[in-house]
Amino acid sequence: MSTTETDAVIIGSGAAGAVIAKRLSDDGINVVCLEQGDWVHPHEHPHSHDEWELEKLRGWSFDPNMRNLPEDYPVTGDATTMMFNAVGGSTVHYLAFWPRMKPVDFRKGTEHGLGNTIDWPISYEELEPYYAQAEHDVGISGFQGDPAYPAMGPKPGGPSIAPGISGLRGIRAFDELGWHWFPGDNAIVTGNGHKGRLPCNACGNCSSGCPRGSMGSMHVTHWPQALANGVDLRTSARVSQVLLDAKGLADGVEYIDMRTDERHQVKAKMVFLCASGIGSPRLLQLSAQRGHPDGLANSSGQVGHNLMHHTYAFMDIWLEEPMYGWQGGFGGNSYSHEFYDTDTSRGFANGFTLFAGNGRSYGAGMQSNGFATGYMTPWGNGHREFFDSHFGFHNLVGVQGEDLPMYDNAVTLDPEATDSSGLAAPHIEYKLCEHDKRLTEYGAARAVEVAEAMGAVESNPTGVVWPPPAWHLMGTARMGNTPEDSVVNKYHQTWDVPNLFVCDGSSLATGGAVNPTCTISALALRCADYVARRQSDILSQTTTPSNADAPGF
Amino acid sequence: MRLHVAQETTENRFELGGRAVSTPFHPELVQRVNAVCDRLIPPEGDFPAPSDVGIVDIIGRYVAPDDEMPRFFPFFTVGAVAGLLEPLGDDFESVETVVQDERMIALEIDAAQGFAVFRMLTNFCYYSRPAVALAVQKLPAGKYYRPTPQPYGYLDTVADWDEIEINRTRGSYVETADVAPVDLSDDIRASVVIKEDEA
Repeated sequence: MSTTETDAVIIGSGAAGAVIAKRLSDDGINVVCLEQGDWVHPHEHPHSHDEWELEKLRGWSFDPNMRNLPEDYPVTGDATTMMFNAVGGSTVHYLAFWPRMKPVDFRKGTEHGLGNTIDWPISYEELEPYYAQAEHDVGISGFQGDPAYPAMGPKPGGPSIAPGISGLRGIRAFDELGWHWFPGDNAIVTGNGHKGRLPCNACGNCSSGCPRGSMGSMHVTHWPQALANGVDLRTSARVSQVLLDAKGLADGVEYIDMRTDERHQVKAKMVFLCASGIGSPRLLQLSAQRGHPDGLANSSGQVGHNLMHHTYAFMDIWLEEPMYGWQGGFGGNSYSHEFYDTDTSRGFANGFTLFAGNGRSYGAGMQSNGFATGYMTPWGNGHREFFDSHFGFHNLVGVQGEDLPMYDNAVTLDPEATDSSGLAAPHIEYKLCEHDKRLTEYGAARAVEVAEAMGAVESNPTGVVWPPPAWHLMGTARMGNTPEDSVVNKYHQTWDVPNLFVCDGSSLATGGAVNPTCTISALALRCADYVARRQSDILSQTTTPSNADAPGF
Repeated sequence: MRLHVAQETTENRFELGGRAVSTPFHPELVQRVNAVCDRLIPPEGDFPAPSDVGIVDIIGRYVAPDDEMPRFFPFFTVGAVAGLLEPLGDDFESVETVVQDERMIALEIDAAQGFAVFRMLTNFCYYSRPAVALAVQKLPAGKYYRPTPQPYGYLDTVADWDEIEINRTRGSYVETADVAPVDLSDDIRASVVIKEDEA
C-alpha cells in the first residue's frame, strides 16, 4: 500500500469534482482527484458507427446496470438510476440542459414545508455569481431576456441550439395556449464555438455524449486547465472509505487501484466527496467507523435520505407534417414554466417544467423500437406501412415535476449486491407520494393540451412514469440550517467533521423542477471559492461552525 | 433486463460495435434467424429483406459464444438464440408465411421477454444497414436522413430560431423577498403520504 500526502483529495471528477479541482488548483492548492472510471476517447462515442442506436442499450446506456462496465457499480431497488463513471462523470453522458433554479426554489420551506422540505441555507442571490461563472466556464449557449427568471448576463457559447421544425412546432403551441416559453440555456457550444471547442453541428445524438467536444462535459471544459495546474488525477481509482484521525477529523481516503487491485491511501488536509447523489451517501455509509456507527457524518440521520429524482410524464405524438425530429442538439431547445410556481388551487404545491418538441427522435432504429414511450412498430405484414407512415412525423411532449424530499426515499447499502471490488452496492428506496402523483397527473393533462395545440393526430402517453427515469440524483446529503435537519452546512462542511465536504447533487435541499447540473456546478464553485479563501480557518476548526458563526467569504 | 454482476477485469470496457468478429452460427441457425427476421420485417418496395443485408452477421457481433457469459445487451449466447427459436419447429423455413406468423405469435406469448429482446435487436440491426438507410431517405419525411449522426450532423438542414418568435415571450417569477407561506388545505397536507400498494 502506498501513501500520498496532499492538501485536498476529491472523490469524483464530474460536475462538482472537476470544478472544485480546478478552482482549488487555480490558487495553488495541491489536489489529488480519484475517479473510478477512465478517460473516454472521442472515438469511443458511437456517432459515426452504423449501429450507433444499438449502443444506447450497451456501452452508452445511461443505466449502469445495463452498461455492466467494470467501473460501474450496481444500483438495486426502485427507479432506473442513470449515471456515468468516467473522467467528467455524468457530464460525459447527459443532455446538457443547463437551467438555473429559481429564487423561490431556495425557499420552499417557507412556502409550504411539506414532507421533509426545508429552506436552503443560501439564497438564489448568494449563488447567482457562481451560476454566472459556472455558465461561462462551460460555454453556455442561449438567449437573454427570459421573463420567468431574474436578469442574466450574456451567453458566451452562442445562441440557443437550433429548435428544428419539431421545436418550433412546440413553441407555437405554447404561444397558441398563451403560456410562457423560452429558448433553453444549454451547455452546448453553438455559433462560432468557444475556447477552441467546435460548435454543435446538430447531429441529434447528445444522449451518447459528444465526440466533437461541443457539449460542456468536464473532461473538455475543466480538466485540461486543472491538469495544467498540476492536479493529480488518478483514474480507475475506486475509493473504499474515508479515513479519520484520532481527533475525529478527516485524514484522507483509502482507494483501490482497479487495474492492480492494490489498495492505497491519500492523506489529505481536506476531503471532498463529489461522487453523486448516490455515490456520496454510499461512501459515507461505507465509511462507518468508531464514533460514526451509522455511517460517517450521519449524526443527523439524514445521510442517504430525502432522495429526489423529479417526476416525469411523456407523450409521443405524430403530426401530419414532417418533423425531422432526428435533427438538432438535444439539450432543451425550449421549455415552459407556465406551471412552475405553486398554485394550491390545483390541489398540490410546487410545479413542473413542460417540454414540447424538445426530445429528439433519434434514428430509424429507435423509431422502430418505440420512440420514448415504447410505441413499437408492429412486426409482420403491418411493419412497413406503420413505420413508413410514422418515421419523421414524430414529436415529443414531456413533463418534469418537482418531487418532495421524503425521509423514507433513501439510499442504503445493499446487504447482498457488491461492485467488482467487493464493496456493498447502493440500494434505492423511492416511492412517489400522492401529492407528487397529483402534480404529475396535472402536468400530463397540460401535456395533452399542448399536443392538441401542436396538431397531434396520434399519441401515446405514458401517464406518470414508473419506475421513474432517475437522471437526477439529489438531496441525500443535503445542506441545511442546523445539524439536525441536514448533513452539511452552507459551505458544504459536514456538521460532524469540519474538514470533510460533500458537494454534488446530494447537497440540494430541494430539487426545483429543473435539471440540476448547472446548480451542482455553481455550488461546487462556491464551495471551492470558500475553501480557497478560508483554508487556514477551516484547518483550524475542530468542530463545524454554524452557518451564522462560519467566517464567511 | 439483467441485473449487474461484479466484473472481474477492466477489458472490453467499451465494446463499440459488438465483437470484432461475428460469432459463428451453425447453418441451421443461420437459416432460422434469417427466416424469423424476414417475417419480423418483411421486404417491401425499396426496403430489402433482413436476410439480404446480412442480418445474421450483424446479430452475431452482439451474441456471445456458448462458452462465454454475455455481458451486454442483448445478453444472448448462440445457444440462447437457438433455444429461443427452436419451438418454431423443424419445418419453419419451409412452411407458408401465414403459418410462420402463427408460430411466431405463439412464441411471442410463450417466450415474451426473449422474443421482445430478439425483435428489438433485429430492428436495431436492420435499420443500421446503409442499404436500409437509403430506403428510409425515400420516405415522405426521410429526405434529410443520414445513416449516422456524425461526421456531418444536420446543421445544413435543421430549422433555426426566428427573432420574432423569441421576442413574443411572456412569463414571471417570484422574487426571494416575495416568497411567503401558501394556504395549504387539509387535503394537500394529507396527500403527502406514500401508499405502499400504489407506489
